[in-house]
Amino acid sequence: MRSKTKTLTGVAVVAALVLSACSGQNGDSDDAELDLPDGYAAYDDPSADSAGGTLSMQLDYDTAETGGLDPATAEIARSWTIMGLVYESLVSIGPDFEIEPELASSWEQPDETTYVFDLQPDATFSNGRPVSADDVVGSFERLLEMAALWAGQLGPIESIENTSEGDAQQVTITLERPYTPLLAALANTPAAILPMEELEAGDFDPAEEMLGSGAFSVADHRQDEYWVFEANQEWWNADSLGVDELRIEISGDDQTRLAGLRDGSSQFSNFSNPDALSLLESAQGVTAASQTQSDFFYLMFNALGDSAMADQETRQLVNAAIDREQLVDVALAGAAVPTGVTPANLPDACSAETLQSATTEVEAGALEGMALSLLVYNSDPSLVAIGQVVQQQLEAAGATVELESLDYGSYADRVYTAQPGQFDLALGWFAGYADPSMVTSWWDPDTAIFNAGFMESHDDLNAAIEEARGLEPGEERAAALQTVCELVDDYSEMVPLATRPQVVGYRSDSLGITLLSDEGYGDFLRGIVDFRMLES
Amino acid sequence: MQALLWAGRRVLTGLVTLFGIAVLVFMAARIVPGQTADVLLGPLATPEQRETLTEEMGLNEGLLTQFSIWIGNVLQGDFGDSIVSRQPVLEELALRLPVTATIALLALLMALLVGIPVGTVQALRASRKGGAVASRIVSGLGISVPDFVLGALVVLAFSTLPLGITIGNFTSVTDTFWRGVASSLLPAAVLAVFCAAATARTTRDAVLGVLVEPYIQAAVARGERPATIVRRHVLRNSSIPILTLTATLLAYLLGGAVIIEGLFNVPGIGSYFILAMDRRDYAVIQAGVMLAAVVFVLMSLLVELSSSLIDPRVSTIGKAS
Amino acid sequence: MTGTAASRATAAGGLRKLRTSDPVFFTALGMLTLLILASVAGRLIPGLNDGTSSVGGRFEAPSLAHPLGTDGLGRSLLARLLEGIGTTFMLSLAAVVCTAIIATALGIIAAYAGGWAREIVMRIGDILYAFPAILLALLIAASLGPGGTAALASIVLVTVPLMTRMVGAAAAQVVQRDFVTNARISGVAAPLIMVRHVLVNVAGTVIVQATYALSVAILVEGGLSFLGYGVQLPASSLGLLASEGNVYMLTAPWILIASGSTMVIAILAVNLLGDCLRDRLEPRKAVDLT
Repeated sequence: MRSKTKTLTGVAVVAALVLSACSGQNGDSDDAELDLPDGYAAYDDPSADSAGGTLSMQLDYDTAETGGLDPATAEIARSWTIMGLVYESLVSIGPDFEIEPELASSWEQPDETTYVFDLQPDATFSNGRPVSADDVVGSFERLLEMAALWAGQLGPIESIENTSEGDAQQVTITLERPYTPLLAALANTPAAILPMEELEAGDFDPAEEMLGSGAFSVADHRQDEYWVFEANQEWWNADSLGVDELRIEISGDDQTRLAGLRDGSSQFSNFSNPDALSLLESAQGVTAASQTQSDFFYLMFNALGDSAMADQETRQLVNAAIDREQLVDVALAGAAVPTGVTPANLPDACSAETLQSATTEVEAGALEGMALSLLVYNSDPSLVAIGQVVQQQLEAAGATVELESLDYGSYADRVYTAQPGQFDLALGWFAGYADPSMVTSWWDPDTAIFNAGFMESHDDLNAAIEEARGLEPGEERAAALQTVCELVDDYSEMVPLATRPQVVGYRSDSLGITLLSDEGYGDFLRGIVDFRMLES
Repeated sequence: MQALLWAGRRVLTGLVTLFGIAVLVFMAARIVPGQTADVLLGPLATPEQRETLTEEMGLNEGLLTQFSIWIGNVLQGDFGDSIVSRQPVLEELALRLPVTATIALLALLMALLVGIPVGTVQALRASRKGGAVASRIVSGLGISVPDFVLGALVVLAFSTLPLGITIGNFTSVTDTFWRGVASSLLPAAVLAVFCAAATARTTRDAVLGVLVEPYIQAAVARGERPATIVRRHVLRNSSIPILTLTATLLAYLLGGAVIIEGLFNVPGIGSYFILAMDRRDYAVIQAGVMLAAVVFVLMSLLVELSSSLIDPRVSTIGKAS
Repeated sequence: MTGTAASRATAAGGLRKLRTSDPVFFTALGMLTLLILASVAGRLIPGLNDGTSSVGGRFEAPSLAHPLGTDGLGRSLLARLLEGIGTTFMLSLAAVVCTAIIATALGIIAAYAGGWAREIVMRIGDILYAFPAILLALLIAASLGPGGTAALASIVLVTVPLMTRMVGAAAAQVVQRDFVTNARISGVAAPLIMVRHVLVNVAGTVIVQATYALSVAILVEGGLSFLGYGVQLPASSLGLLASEGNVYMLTAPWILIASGSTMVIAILAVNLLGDCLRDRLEPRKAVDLT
């Protein structure tokens, strides 16, 4: 049992009661939303008392990385979320994608290419050793040396140096040229700070275990079954943590997780199925909240095969035949928005409505006589639903579309591995990240590699992507990003469709949660340090 | 001596069967489309990463070499490591076996306790008109309800109504014995429905088969009481088909409860197997199937050996055929 | 020759008795006919099979326009159910026909040839039989890629071993009878004996076992599709609908109720049919002890 340090006033208690009562009521979601601060999908008063104890949650899948538990090589969002419970990065992301302090208590940018980070003085690994600037420098050097996926997202780094003076720990990152996404990239778990001293001494193998400076440490784990985390007493902000123990059960079946919430054996669950919102509506004591992800679904065209999709104008026609609004309403339960290549909820993103594919009217019969294959993988129900709606829309325009719903292995074989790809159209989704200039990397097959089998590298597009990266947030960058969106739409080789929904359900009768309304790294547990256990 | 020869022959065929399965499962796992590298590393992996993984797993060797390495290790009790958890597969399976076994044994127990009496009574009353039709439909219904339909309904009922048992937080018997048994009750009950109906049907057929034998008519003619006849002649002589079915059911329950384990979120062999399939975790797939097959072959052997003890004719028939 | 004629008479007599006496048989047959007719009608009636979705019409409760309600993409569930019945039956029947042909051929050849041929057939049967059905089906589905073909192949491989054993055992008894020995001695060609003498006499067993195989087939298709390894969207099958119904049980219970109960009725009807056929084609007379 641990209570928050901030002093309580009667007003705060009353406010908290009113707030939790409102959010606990089902069907009255409008009222609850009125009380939500900007940028939050669920909010719990951080100054209120927590009853402490064990928080039980069920998630749909576990981390599964060939790099084991090493955050540096982690590639899927679930790994970022789970490893993020243990590890800290220099910075974090708050409401409206604002960069917030984490391990770095503050930072300065003396010029366009220099970033100076002052480390949190109390930061300590869970083994009791204070975090030093050398750990930060070593972690980044290791990441860059490993040529991991995230090394690319950190941009044109020239040097990382320990610039500490005296006891105050300080790190300076110098870039070769301006790169706006740097802070957003630093905020993700692969840029986590590892205990380099132990790692280099061979006492700690990051693939096998986790040893971080974050809010939790691992007590037990069985792959694909469960995790048990306990509050890390050494964490610099340990007093504010409302949860003593966190048990995560992995349960792949939507129905089972719904059942767990209904009968109270689980207090928190996530769903990629947007219908979970309505499925949880009638459950007593359960509240559901939807978080807008920058992740988005996209359609791939095989521009390098020998089908009709090799022709750019035909691709543009197919692209324009897809009604994204209808797609969102029918396949995604209205819980998403159409997007361009810059994820719709990120600052300076382009508007999907302005693009050629949205403004062009496709006449009935325009695709007459065209026979196309459309590939999806069946482990993601949303993808199959989108596939069916796209199929109907293209057939309404006269094409014959064979929707092939494959297991992921066969899908990857035909879409990513085969050169050229063995498909006409295929659906997939990307993590959208936290800066609009990050996911654009995947539109250059020379960088992305996986799409070299079906699309080409275009100099004008690559230049536009590069230009936008160097610009400060604001109108100029928005204009540059608009150009990127238009070029991607024009080439029609890999076109964004709509954002990917994420729903969480929680027992509002025993738990108060804080959930950002928007998220870039799929981390719906970002607010866990503000979760609060309620007295039952 | 003859019986010993017969038993030796059965063990030998069992071994041949296991070898056949080993070959089959190895080949099947290898022709599954989509390479492990594709599935595990995802689209964003570099060619170097894929190369490293393929090499690490020994997948760039020839098929025959891969097979002989694998079978050689298996014979020494080493089924390799899971590529996902990096733990020895045998340890992973050993962790999950008690969970699956608890459910299987509970389900079997329920099935036999219900199925044998019901089947016997059904057989004894077979010649009565009305009852026969009703009982046929009831036991027919038992084997006709797919376990996933029944399971879905049970999950819904127990998660919406306050019935005292919850679906989440499965506890293994190895952690807390009685809580483990309690959380196994629901999935076991769902599985038991089919098994009980199958047991009832087999018992009914077996008893009917015995009832046409001349010694039953002789017993009736001698004026023995029906209860005595059932106990002394009928059940004893119809026990072999029931025993055979019991073994089949146990093997089925130990290897086939895939869907129910998923529905009730039971961390057993079945749900582990499905995950391994999705991820092309070859070592796990191969070991899982081999385990199920070994159980099946052992059960068959045990049943045949015990059948030959109950009715010595079995071994001579076995030899003649 | 007389033996053949005699057993033919028995099988025919057994079937004739069915015609007059058994209400269960007719109910079961009636239900199956109804299901198959409905699925055919679903394809023929215009408008009903229009599988397009409508905006805002997702998960509508049963109404006059959509007697079984709508699914997650706003399609009429009735249309999808009828299509699903069609897919499930076509797949299962096709698989059972394959099984019956393979198992009968293997069973008869093994019984007639004996020796090594029999040994090989039985060992292969043992190997397939030792796989738990659903694991075998999953492995095949994963190897061939999920879909109808994989489901069909799985059903065949799951049902072949048991049926081969049963037909083989029945054929082994027939082979030892005098009329087969006589035919062999008088130099009749082996294939001819196998068809004219053995096959004709094991036909009853084949019919009964094929009926049971059909119920297993419907179950396996359902299980595979439920797990995502069988029939794939946008096609429809009973197992696929049950899988969708499972998730939406709370808000759209009609999906699971419709698909689940159809499946139960279909399997029950097939099993009852099998029981009736077996009772008639392999009759036994028991003593009434009660």
